[in-house]
Amino acid sequence: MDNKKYYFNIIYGFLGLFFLFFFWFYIVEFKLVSIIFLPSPFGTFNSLNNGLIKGDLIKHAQSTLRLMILGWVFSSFIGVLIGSFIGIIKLVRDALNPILEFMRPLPASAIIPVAIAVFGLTPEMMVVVVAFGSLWPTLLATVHGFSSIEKRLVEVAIILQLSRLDFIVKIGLPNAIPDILVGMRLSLTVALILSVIVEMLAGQEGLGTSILLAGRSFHSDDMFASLIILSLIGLICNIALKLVERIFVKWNN
Amino acid sequence: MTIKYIKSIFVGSFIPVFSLILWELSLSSNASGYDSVAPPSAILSSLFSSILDFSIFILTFQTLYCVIVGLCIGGLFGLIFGILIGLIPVLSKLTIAPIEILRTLPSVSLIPLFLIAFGFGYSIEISIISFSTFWPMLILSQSAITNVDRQLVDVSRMLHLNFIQRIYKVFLPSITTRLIVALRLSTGIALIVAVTVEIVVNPQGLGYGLVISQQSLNPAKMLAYLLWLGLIGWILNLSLTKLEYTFSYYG
Amino acid sequence: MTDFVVFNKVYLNLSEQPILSNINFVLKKGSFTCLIGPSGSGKTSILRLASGLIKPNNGEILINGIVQNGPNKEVAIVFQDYSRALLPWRNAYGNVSLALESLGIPNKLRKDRILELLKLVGLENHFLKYPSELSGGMQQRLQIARCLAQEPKFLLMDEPFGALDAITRHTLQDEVIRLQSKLEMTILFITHDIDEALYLGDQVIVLSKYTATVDKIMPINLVKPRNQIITREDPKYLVLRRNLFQLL
Repeated sequence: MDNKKYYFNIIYGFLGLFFLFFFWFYIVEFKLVSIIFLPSPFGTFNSLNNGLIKGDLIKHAQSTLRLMILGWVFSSFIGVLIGSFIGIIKLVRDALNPILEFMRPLPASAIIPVAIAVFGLTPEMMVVVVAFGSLWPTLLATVHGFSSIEKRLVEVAIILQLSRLDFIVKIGLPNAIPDILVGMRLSLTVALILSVIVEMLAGQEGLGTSILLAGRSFHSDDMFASLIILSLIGLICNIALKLVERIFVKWNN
Repeated sequence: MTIKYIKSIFVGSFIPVFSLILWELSLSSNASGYDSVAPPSAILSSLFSSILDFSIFILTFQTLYCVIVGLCIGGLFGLIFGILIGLIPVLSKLTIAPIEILRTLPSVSLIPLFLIAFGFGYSIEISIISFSTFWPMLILSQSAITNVDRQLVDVSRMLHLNFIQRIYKVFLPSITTRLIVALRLSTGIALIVAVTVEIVVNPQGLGYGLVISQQSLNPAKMLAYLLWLGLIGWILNLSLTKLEYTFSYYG
Repeated sequence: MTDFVVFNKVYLNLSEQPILSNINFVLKKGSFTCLIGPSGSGKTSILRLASGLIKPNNGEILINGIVQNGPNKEVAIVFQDYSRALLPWRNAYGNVSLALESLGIPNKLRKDRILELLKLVGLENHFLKYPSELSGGMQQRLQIARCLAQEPKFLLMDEPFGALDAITRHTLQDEVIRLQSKLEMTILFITHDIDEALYLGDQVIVLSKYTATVDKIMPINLVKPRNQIITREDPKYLVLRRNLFQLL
């Protein structure tokens, strides 16, 4: 019974995509929107094909991916390290709380001019800027994960007289992992956005720049080809991390 | 109890105050001017002068105007479509694939596209904000509808209410709280997107102010704008959270 | 029978408010004592004092003749909110294992002991399941198994069956009686259910809400082993029940 529903949903999914293409095709066909602004599906497909075969698109995509993933790995590592330290020691947490709460609502993109002022915008520094901006979701989530341990479990640990290390490894860490994974997923989204922005600002090779260049020469089909690759990257990353979450947190029904 | 309270205030303010003092002392010796960072005193004085000559308010108005109009457009469309999709199960199954693909597109990457269409100014920013706020409002409105308490749905059917009555008398009141949460989250997104568009390309608003002061090597002004931006974001979040509480039925 | 647990002139305050005043009672070794009283009368506080999680403002608590100074591995406590006292990321086997790990028992020796304990509470077929996959009654039994893994001399139970349905409750009551006699534990059991208190206990301690003191200590000399039907029909039971009812 469940299987049937599953296959039906897949059919619906394809149907929905088909309708989307349909709308797209019709809007262009009936010239409802200028071709400069919205290219035809075929033009886009052509450009996509060319870009992939010639390899430009692949080079740009690789560049963006490299920047995003490097920045994300750094920010995840530092975020979890510092976050766990802050989350575990109550005194540190209370002392740093005002600063954390201040940083939380700040748009990551607003940090970019500041990061550029401090670090500069050389190719090496691009990674630092992306890492710095995407640090916060992981950091805040890690702090929350380690500090939100169920009170009863703390009492159980006291009664069993668990050592400090045992408590952190057996109770603190498993409790924090779901939060950390969610934080890392958000950080990846932020890292992608920041990579695109930084590329646009610095004029370095990458999907952000290719979109910018395509825009300047009014080649909307090239632009859309890059956009499709970009959203594919975002989609794949999101799905991949959600899968990881599912595997690691199988007890969270 | 009061001793605990005082102690917690002390602990909470120790590091911020200490680091502010350290920051001030380490930089104020450089009287010739600053390139990339500035001491708190310079930041505050820059902030005050921006307030006094009204310049910061103009920039704030530009940003907030785009945020509000963009939210209205994107939010309204998102709300309507979200409710429709939530009420009609077939639609939700059909649209789930296109939505998942389209919403993952970073709004930043659309900047060049809209630049072709609109050039600099209010339109480009408002349209990108509308696009960005459409998706979260759509998804959250849809889930607000589908998460309506099953019992209310059954009650409305027993009372033989027609479609419009059902929406007006049962669904809308019960989803108000969730919609306000959606509004709060979308406002946050709208602000971020607005500032981003201004940083990357649009010569107006607080984001532009940030970039210009960074490029003209005026870190005091840049950090002042950053501080102001944080304040605005905080105020917006606070007022919407208050609104959320007044409409919440759960105390 | 020796005095195993002694509460001696114990006082407990919470921010100037007296929660417990001049609490005195004695639990004999191997006895089953029920603690009953209206909400807010300090029952849970007595349990937390007995476990060493909190210290009294005045007076002393003696466990096996030694003044208590903090948590003690010989004391185990079964919490009322069982789902929050289990590790959600470990299965039943892992949850029981936690107690044995804390005792420093090496991996090889743990396996048999864990399965033995799970069998004791009737969960031997579910040892791979996570708490979220277990029913309320099963989760509570798992918590009991974990507590028994400590091999406690003194078992504290805080309204352990309060959230369960009547049938499960009766089954678990008999199971606790069986476990107590098998493992020779001293038990302090909180309940708000008069019938449960009379059924399980050798003595019932009644707490008063208004004076934060012990109202009365009632010995229960009903025939053992108890039986859900026979004991509850015993005329002595009915007399005790009436007396207890009038006290509360």
